[in-house]
Amino acid sequence: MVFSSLQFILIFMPIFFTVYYLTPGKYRNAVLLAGSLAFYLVGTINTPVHFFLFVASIVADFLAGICMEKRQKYKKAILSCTIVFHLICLCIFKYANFVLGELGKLYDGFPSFNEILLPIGISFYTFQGISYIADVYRGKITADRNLLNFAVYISMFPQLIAGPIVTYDEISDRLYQRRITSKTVLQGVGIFIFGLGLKVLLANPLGKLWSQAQAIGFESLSTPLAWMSVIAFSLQLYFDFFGYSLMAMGLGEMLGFTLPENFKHPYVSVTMTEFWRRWHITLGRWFRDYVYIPLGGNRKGALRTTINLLIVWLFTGLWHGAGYNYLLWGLVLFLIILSEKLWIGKWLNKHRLLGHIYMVFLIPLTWTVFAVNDITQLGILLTRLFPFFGKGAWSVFRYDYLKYLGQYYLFFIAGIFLSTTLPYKLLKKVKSKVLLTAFLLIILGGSLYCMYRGFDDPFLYFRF
Amino acid sequence: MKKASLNTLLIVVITLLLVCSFASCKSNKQSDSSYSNETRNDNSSAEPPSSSTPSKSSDKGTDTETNKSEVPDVQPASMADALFIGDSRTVGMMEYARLIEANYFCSTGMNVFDIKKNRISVPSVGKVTLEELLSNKKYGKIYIMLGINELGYNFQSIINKYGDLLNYVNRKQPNAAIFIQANLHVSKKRSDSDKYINNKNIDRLNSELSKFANGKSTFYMDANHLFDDKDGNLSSDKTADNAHLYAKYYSEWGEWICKETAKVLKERQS
Repeated sequence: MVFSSLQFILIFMPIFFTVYYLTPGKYRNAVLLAGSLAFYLVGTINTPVHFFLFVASIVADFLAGICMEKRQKYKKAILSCTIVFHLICLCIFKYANFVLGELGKLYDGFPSFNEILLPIGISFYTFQGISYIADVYRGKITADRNLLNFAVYISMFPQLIAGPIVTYDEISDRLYQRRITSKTVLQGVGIFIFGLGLKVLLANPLGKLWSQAQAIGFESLSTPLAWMSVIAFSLQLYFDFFGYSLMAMGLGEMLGFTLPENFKHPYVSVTMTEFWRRWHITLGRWFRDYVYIPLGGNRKGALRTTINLLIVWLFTGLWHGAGYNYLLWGLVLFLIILSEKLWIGKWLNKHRLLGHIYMVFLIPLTWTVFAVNDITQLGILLTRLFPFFGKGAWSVFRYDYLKYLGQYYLFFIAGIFLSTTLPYKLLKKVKSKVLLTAFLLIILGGSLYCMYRGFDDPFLYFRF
Repeated sequence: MKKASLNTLLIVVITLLLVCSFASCKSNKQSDSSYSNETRNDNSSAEPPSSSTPSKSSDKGTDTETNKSEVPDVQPASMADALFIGDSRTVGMMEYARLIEANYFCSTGMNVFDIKKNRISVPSVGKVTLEELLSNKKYGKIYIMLGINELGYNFQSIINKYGDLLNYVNRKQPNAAIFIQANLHVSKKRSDSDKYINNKNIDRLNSELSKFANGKSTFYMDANHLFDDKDGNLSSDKTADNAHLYAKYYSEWGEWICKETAKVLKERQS
């Protein structure tokens, strides 16, 4: 079940929240757990092993936390075993297909295998579990002795399948006691609707341009259309994920939790370094706290810092998907960020206009590496983006870019506008509740209509 | 790094980019002019015919052994008097097949139920209905490819409506040869997962449509053998969305249509 679906909005939400609000405070965690498990079960009904894996993962982390506090002598071993368990599950379910597929290409007669399906949310709940046991190990938090409350922390449906990656200390207080007022609920509803609108009314239509470019075939795109397509993908990816994160935050507010922000207008960044402090903030934070800093961070000299950065970015790439292009993408980001650290970063921060121009090119180009799984196709697309060698900037269909510009120009304008900070500043200035309500109702109505007509697409980040 | 060096580097990079853009524009002008020479304005600019034996077009697309280039020892037909009517595949043809002399009455989602109501923008003609288009110009060849968007509706009513359309076009353009184009297959992945748009239904549809051909004014052509795999599904390497060809294959399709048309018309004459 995805948030941007009629089943979730018109069936799950009304039923769940009615029961939740009518339930006395001390039983609300039980209702939330039941609702979250039901939510996950609906998504894994055809693959029950995924559901059991999820439950096993929660129980393993819960027990590991308690054992580490009770058996301090073995806490390193317990931490290591639990992390290894998580990583093995992740490797099997996320990477085995790719590895076995590549081995099959290399060796004739390699045994064929049934494709392993990716359990929904595994990348997120695994990282959440690892953050918990690492924080218990470090003594940053006390292990939760209440399985129900701990299970709620991992499984609560707003952040279960696509983040944000919440650390235990961020919500532990609210796990035990939370106050839900009509103000927080309405605020949550508003944030949810806004996120829904970004996803359904902006991300999905822009995504169609990228799909059309793929259907045409990159070799047949003109240079302007190739650039329009990768910009469309960049905007789709942002509003898909930003929209989903807002929906998660809104649902969290409605439940009485304040989930962390995951995006802070990343497209206004002037450097890639800044970008990754604004994009998928909780993932960057996770890699910093649980990989980069334990490796030594920047405290062990320039060479070690460089190696640590390389490890972090390669793993960031791999986390996003099993494929050579993800590794390549991670490597490209590493090289850019390293160049900024050593050379151009300070200069770009000082000359912000040039920094913006620099990022206007780098953002879609790096997303191109991310978006195209096949390296040959990636090469073809790059030759269309930079048509300096070969067949020139135009396509057989000479004015292809005008056709698609005519269809998508409003979405581009809206997407670029909503990538800046301006609309959000303006929204905050609106004091009239009537105006805000009308605005949100229009978004909700429009989104529901599009969903009803089947204009929704699966969320890009669900394959993680 | 010193500020002066950075500035210098920036100037060099910008200069390089400008030079490359200029070079690219120059190569565009050259490729544009060569493109206009490649278009099939008349038979004299067409490619020399192949010497292999032309094969009979099959309505099930099972004639997989047909050599793509074997069709003609005739000159490809001119498209100057041609009209293509159809759905998104015909839109693809209009955009990528390089048959620029033909007219195209097509849109994504076009179907036999709505076709007479649609007002479509026809390049070099304007925004017209089918009635207006067929009243304004005499066509020698009219190609129709419809049906796939209608799968899922009552099958017999699709056939009836298609027949009505053929009669209508024939009435409006009695001298034109009408070519019913077989609907292209979808990939195995799409076919196996779609209750309506699958190759079994497409083949059934094509088979029924082929019965409208009379060999005198109405003909049937099936290009599936150009793009199918050995199992009669659209090859998975020829499509990204499992339903439409990559744009680069439309010119091959267009060439085949020109050659097949010439062959059919020659047979009609004899």
